[in-house]
Amino acid sequence: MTRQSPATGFLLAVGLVALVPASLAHAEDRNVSWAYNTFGVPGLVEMPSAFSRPDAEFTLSFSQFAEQYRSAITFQVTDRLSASFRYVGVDGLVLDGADPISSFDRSFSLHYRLLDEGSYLPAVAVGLNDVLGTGLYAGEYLVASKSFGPKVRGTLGIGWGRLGSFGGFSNPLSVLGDGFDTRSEFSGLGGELSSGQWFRGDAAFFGGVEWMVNERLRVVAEYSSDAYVEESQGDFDPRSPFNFGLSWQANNRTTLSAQYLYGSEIGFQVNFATNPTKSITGSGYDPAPVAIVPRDQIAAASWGEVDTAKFESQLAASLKRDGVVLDGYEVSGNVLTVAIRNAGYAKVSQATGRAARILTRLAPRDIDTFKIVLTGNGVPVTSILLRRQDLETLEFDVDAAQRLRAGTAITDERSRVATAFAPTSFPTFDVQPYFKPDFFDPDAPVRADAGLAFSARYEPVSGLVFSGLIQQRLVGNINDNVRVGDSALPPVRTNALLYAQASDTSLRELTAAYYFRPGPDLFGRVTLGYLETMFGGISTEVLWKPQGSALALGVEVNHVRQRAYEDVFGFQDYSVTTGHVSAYYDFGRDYQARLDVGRYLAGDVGATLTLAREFDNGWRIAAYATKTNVSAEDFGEGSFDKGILISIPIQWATGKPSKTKLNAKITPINRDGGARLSVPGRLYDSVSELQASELDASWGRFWK
Amino acid sequence: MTKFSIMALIAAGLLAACGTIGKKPVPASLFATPISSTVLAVTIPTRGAVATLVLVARNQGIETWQTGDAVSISVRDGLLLGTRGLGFDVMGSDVSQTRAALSGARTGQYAVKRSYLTADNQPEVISATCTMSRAAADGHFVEDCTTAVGNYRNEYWLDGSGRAARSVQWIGPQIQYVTLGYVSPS
Repeated sequence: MTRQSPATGFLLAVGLVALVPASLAHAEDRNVSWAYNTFGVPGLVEMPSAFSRPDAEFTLSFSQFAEQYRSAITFQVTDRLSASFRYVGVDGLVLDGADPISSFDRSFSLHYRLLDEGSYLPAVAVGLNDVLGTGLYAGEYLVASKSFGPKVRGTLGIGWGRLGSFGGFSNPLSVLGDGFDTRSEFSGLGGELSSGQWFRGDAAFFGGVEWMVNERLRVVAEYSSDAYVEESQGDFDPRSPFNFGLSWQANNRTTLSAQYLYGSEIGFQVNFATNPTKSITGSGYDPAPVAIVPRDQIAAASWGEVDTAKFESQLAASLKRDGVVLDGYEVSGNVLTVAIRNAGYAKVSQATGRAARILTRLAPRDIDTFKIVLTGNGVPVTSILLRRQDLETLEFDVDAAQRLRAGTAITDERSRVATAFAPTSFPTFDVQPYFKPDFFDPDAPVRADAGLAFSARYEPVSGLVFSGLIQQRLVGNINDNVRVGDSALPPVRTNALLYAQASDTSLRELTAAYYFRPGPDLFGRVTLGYLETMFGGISTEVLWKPQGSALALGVEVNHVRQRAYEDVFGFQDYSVTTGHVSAYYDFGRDYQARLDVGRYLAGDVGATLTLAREFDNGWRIAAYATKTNVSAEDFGEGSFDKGILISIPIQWATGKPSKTKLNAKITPINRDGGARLSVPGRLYDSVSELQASELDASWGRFWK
Repeated sequence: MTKFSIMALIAAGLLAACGTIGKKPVPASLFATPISSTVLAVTIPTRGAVATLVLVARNQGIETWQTGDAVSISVRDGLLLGTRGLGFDVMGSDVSQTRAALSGARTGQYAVKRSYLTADNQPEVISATCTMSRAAADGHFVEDCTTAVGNYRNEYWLDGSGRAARSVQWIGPQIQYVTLGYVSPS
């Protein structure tokens, strides 16, 4: 290797920073990083900076150079904390002098801005690369960044691990203890918190300068402290620690970059950024709702004058046109109660508003209160008591949402309405395309199946639901996989492939479910049948979730038997009683946590912690980790179960009313430990979306 | 580059994962019958849109006018109070001071407020500080307003009853101006 001496290089970088005149930065740009580095972390070219991206930004980034192919998902979890999940492919990797190999590496990193930039002091951030992975990208850093006028920023940092591999010196943290002197070689199965290694071993400086030439074009020069020890044994020849980059903000979402790296390589990068709190459609192109009609224009003076058959059919038809299903209605004195289910909107507050507007057109003059009962699976959940007068006077008030809510009571509701319609008195059928991706098989990092999903649902009485789901695979290569499990545990998940290989047609669900209200704030469910592709049996659940409460508790107990591969209705010998006690907590400001403690499918005992940020439009990004009494060795690669869940409402993307969400689950490795039964119709989501906290969070949508 | 294309596939897969699109309802509002033969002619220059709206409801002096594809504009005395179906909709307005200034009941600076909904379903209010001035022609008024997101100028042409029979009104930073004009059947 013909590199410049690290010391000279570093001094050059410092010189570049020092030459730039200092002045105050634009306040609005403060603490917001101008770009992502090649690892998808807010930063320079390859190195991090101390800034963060705008709160809630969600970004996909792809970069490539010298046989390094990196893709990353980065989420600005809070104003200060960014989290990235990366999947990196490397060709020509030489480990311990062996022949060059191709390797795929998953890593999870965190970047936290400790200090904001001040007039004189820089922003400071700390970061951990590869918190849980196999250690290829393990590195930690402490970095400071400072603006010099609105167009120039300088960054200086100190890195450990991989970021201390070029120009390293003995660890300054050794003053805290000899333990910081050395960093042991990585060993193990990956996936375990490698905190024993953090900030250990040699450290090195890195740094760089960014210049915004204009609003779109950014020039970066940096000094990298990454020696690429394993990657540089083959064709890749790093000759210099200096990297240079040009990035072009093509539009609000897309950034294109080109880089000259390590004195020998050209690299390219593209980033797609989006922000769940913004949408190109604004609040959406939802068709105009029915305009409110005041009482003095209604013909019928009282309920006695109303032709109920006509009222019923008009009400049901109007609601249906606006994406709302009528479950039933009743009149008591001056109160008209209407039970509805939301079929058309991401948020039930909008369905409620649409229903209320329709009622102003149809209800006789003496009705002064609308009680809208929201039902889920035929079971009443929430009552919304609206004053008709408020609807008339607040229709275009500048504080319409807040003022309407002030006069509206939202409470728990358990009683069914008198005039109930059998919700779907005949079975309904549906056919939809499906697409099922399968990630991270080392032989083929992306596999996918696509086909048609046939579903049927029959609800003979409120709360009793028969449903089925059959998938017909048309194309795909998931079953080409040859890596069938080697597991020390009962193969409750690792043999999933055998089901895919057995047939292109799969009966995924065939169940009878009963939903009920055992008491105030209590919800119950019993589900019997083929619950998921791999298991059938009985599932029971009780949920305690008061209106407006931050805390909810649930208990689920299931007894299931593993299904046969070939025989659609058959079972194998393995059976298990599995279940959890769950606590759900809403921290407010979009943040939620959930803890499940119990017994998993393979009979292992442990807990799952899920942390989520759910936006008021339905966007949800969550991460979970499960640790059970299965040892890391018995669990196999990855050591324990973990993953990321992403849910995007279609309505946010298209601006048109829709209840549908795109759901993606990214699990680095699917093993048998910490595996949970998949049951259709679990209570928490279907109950919470109908309750006061969620209604309040999107109450402005009532008037949309 | 095969791996790079694989990465791109992951992105595509993520976005398409497990998604199915629901049925689109035909909105109930389109079943309303017009209650007047007068129409409201509307143009939205930023959208290149020209439309004729019919009156579908009257609520406490507020008229709601609607297109055949379920876009609605609600006005009182010709002053815009709300829109629906446009995207960056005006959810509600307080233009009472504009009304007072047009009738001569108030002079000097006054406040105008319009409320919107963010993509995250939160109410957002844009407050403007405005002044009204008479233009040369009779019944022609010009309203100059400043807001945190820029300045705008509305124009009103009043008819004998004090209603803004014709107007150019600012409805927000994205859509900017709409022009409204009552057209009676000849």
